[in-house]
Amino acid sequence: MDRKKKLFIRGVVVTIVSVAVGTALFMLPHNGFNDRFIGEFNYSLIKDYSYKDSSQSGSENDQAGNIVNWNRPVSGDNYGTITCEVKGLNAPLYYGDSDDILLKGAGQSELSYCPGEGKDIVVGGHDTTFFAPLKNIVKDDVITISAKYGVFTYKVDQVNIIDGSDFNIESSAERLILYTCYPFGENNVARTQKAVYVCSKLSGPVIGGND
Amino acid sequence: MGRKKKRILSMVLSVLIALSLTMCLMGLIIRGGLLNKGMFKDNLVRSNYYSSLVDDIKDKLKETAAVYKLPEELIDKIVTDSLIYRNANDIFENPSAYEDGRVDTEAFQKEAVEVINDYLKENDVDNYSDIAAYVEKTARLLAIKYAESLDIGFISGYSGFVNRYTPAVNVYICVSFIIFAVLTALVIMLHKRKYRGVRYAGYGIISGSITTIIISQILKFRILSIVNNADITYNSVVTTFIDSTLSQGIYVGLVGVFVFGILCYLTSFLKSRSN
Repeated sequence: MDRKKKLFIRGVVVTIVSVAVGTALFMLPHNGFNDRFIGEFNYSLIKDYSYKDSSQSGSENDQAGNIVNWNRPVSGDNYGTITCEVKGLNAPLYYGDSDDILLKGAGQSELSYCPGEGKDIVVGGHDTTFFAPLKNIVKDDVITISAKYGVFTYKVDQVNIIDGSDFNIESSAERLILYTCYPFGENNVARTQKAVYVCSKLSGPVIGGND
Repeated sequence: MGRKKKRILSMVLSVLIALSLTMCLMGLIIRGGLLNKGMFKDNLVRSNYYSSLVDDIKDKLKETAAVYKLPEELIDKIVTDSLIYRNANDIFENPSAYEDGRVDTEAFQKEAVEVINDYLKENDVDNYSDIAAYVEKTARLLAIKYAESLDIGFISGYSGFVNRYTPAVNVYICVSFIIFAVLTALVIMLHKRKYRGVRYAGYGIISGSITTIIISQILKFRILSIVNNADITYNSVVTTFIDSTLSQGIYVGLVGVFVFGILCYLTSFLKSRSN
């Protein structure tokens, strides 16, 4: 092989390795840049999550106010907002809790149930962005979920700090369970604890139609 | 050091030069784009965001004016693009003072008092004993309504974010540039014939430039895919801002390619001199 060809191949190898390593480092799912910078940037530019048009929900209410012809959201759907205005919580609520979804807002675990279904609703969010206001929320605060198909309110009954994410989600009544990483805002250290807010339902329609 | 060892070390240094250059260029792109309040401000003006707010605010204030038997034209005189721009600028400059979404209505009240007084004078309503109190009260009520309607609270969120991250990104740019400079110097010093060192530095620069173009575009599409605002006008401001700032990554990368071209020329020049 002549010298020029060798030099060219060397240059190509260095370029390919550098581009691959650089892009892979950037794409690492849990690096601080992806989780924190992009999440906070997105959060800082969000203006309004409120649904002004609830007619697109596709659901109907019967005479008792219960929801009929309800369709479960699909993964990635932004189906409402979760708010506690007095404590500054106001986040779009998505169905699913993948990393990408948690950059956009609060994510409801697909293993849990939707508001109105009468069972546990498990919602997670990043403590540095959308769920940062959770640190101000205490027992008896009221949390509202404005879904496309109805408005639901919940009262905070317990605030627990747990290790890992193994919390009990078996209940006979409808509960809203919010969770985020703990201690709040300390994104630069490995955290295994979670702040968990268990809330009981105060008001809201019941899904009684076809699922 | 053996020739083979030197070659491997040079290639490793080239990869590290590429990574440090990518870090430095990405820092510059973010600092000059996403963290550039000036560009965000320009986007708001260029996309007529303030003008779109004016009509909405005027409609709401005209209802209040009607209650106080004031003609609608007065509101047209008080509420202008420039007044909203001034309010927005205050928030850009001092976001922490406006974190709760409140708006400084002093300029509005002053303008309202002047306009209402002029109107009353024109209509010879100057024998009313409590006229000053009436004007002040009306201006205050209009100001409250104005503050409620002026939907620019998001500026404090963005400005707060910029103020929080700018010092860290500045340090990041400086550190990565120093690493880049040291590594480049090292790879050049490693070789007795300097053109060889320049060649390896060139490999690092072209790789760093290509990586910057790729990463900046991935970042752009990633952020654009998660931005979602209910207000269509505002959402268009935000997406245009993100698109235009991160598209700079392409131009910055192309500058790197151009620098690589210069280094190739320099390499052949140094080589011909050493022969």
